[in-house]
Amino acid sequence: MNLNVRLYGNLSRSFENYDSAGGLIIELPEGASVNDLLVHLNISRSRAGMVLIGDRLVKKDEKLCEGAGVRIFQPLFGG
Amino acid sequence: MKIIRVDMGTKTITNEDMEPVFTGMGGRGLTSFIINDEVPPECDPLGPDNRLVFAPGYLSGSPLVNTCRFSIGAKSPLTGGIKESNVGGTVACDLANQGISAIIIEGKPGPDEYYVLRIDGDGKATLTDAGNLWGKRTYELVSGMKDIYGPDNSITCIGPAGELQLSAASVQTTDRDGRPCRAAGRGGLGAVMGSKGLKALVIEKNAKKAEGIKDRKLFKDCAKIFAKAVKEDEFSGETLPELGTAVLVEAINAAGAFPTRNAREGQFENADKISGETMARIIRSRGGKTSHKGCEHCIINCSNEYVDEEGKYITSSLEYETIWSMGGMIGNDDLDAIARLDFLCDDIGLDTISTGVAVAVAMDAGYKSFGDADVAVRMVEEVAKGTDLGKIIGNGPDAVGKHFNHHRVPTVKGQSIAAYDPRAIQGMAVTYATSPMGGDHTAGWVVDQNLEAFGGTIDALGSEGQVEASRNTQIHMAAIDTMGICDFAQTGLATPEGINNVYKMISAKSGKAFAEEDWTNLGIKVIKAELEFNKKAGFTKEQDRLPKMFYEEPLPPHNKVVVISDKEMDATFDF
Repeated sequence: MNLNVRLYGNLSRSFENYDSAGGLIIELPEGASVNDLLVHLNISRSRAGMVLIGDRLVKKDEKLCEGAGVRIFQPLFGG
Repeated sequence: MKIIRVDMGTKTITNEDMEPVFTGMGGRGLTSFIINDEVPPECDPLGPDNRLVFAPGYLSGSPLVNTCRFSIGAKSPLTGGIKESNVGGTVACDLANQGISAIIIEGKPGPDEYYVLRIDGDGKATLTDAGNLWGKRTYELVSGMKDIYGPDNSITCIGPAGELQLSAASVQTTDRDGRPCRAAGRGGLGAVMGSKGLKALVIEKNAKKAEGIKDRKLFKDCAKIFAKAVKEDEFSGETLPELGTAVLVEAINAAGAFPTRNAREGQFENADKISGETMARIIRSRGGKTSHKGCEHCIINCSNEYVDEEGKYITSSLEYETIWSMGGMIGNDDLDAIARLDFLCDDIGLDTISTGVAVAVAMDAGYKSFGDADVAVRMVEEVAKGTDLGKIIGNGPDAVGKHFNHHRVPTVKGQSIAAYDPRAIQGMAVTYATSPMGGDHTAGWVVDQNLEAFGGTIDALGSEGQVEASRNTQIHMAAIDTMGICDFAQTGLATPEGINNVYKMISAKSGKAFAEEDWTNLGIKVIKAELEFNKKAGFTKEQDRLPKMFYEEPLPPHNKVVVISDKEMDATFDF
């Protein structure tokens, strides 16, 4: 299945020619989870603070589906 | 360590030793204890009985990085309760290095009397006439003061908004480059300073170092561990220096918690135009600085210098909260206009949060259209001119709501909420409602615990666990703000020793044992003093509520309202 993945903060730095407007198109086997996606992107768990599919916050075990729009953010800190 | 007390009525300046009861205190703890002890709770915030207290953090001026934090306290003209507003820059280190724990401004001068309080390199304080400086905006003021006092001073001052004693007036202080761009924005403390006839506090820098660290070697060893962790953490070591706090725009917007058009929606469709990533690209392409050291003793450098297309300085530093209040909250996607509004607020001496929300309420009431940045600029300029409309805007969102008879006013205890909608991050509902400071985000920022699905266990849209999270964070932050540790430097706690490393430094400084229970007790003691003051000032649990809009209007895209019950709110501080 194909996923549209957008990376925020510094996460995109590891991907040469990352297109901030379009993100990445990633192909993963059917049944893959959010955690599988992070492993595929080589983003460690400690670097992924918040993951959304659409407007929904998801956990690592969430199954992905064809065409899903996934947004990955670094851990948040601030005020 | 000493306290300098200045009576603006009699022009008397006295040096006092710190009372033993204040030993180990600094920052918010010290300002709040002094206010609670000395200020009649029912007094006029702009009258002679109020006190304006300036205090560096307990660890300011020490070898620990990111501790140049300055607390300013008073009874707030905005909330009617106790207030501590916290700011960086250089002044906290300069005062601490001179062995000054606090400056208390009391009394009130006669009409048309205006002063500068100067503290020279030897710690000697003098009041000088500032009649010729009254009326000046802050950038012009500090530029002129360099000619009078030389270049090596920290200047803490007010602009026209403070002089007019408007309730959203800030106290501005200079950054490392001598610009008055760091703001103690919240609570209208600029108005209190204006009521005291005090235009500026000018502290001479010197090479002295703070005394009073009993075990300097131990302190330094612990400070090194802390600094290493701050540098090694990706957020404080890389993300903040590159993108600043504006990195939060996309994240909070994605979570549906970015209050848009006076909090009618939780997502701004043009957030990508005002995001941290976009801001960094614009700054880089124009030759500005994405990373900038705004505060003394800082190793994070989250500040920036935003420039125009010709590379000319517009403002420093453009931050998340301002990008929200002058951006999404008023439906404005023009980052250049946001930067200009940020500069204007610093120059006029206005809280960017309260001012942006005041403009948003006016737009929501139909006074002007959302998204019109030129109108927003004109409205803020009106404040400096002292027009009727300017005074309404400068008095904050409640004044605007009252004027337009408009009831969608996102304030608690008169102070506007910040850039996290409580309907999409329910933990922030608890903090906004129960903080003795009014709608305040730094008092108990529980956004991470709500949104980080991988680390957190709290459902951001539910009530379970929110009270406990907010309570614990508020207690922790009361202690952090007493010590004067920068909020963002808390990544320095991510060591095997964790916060015990900070306890060791406190102990190394004071010479007394300090452990976890002391930290918690400190935070509780500070909050208790603040609650006690507010109660005596007439606050009841009824003030620990959000405006009806948050309970009645579902916020897209999650279409939720605040679900924390009154009973749960009241359990937050059940001590």
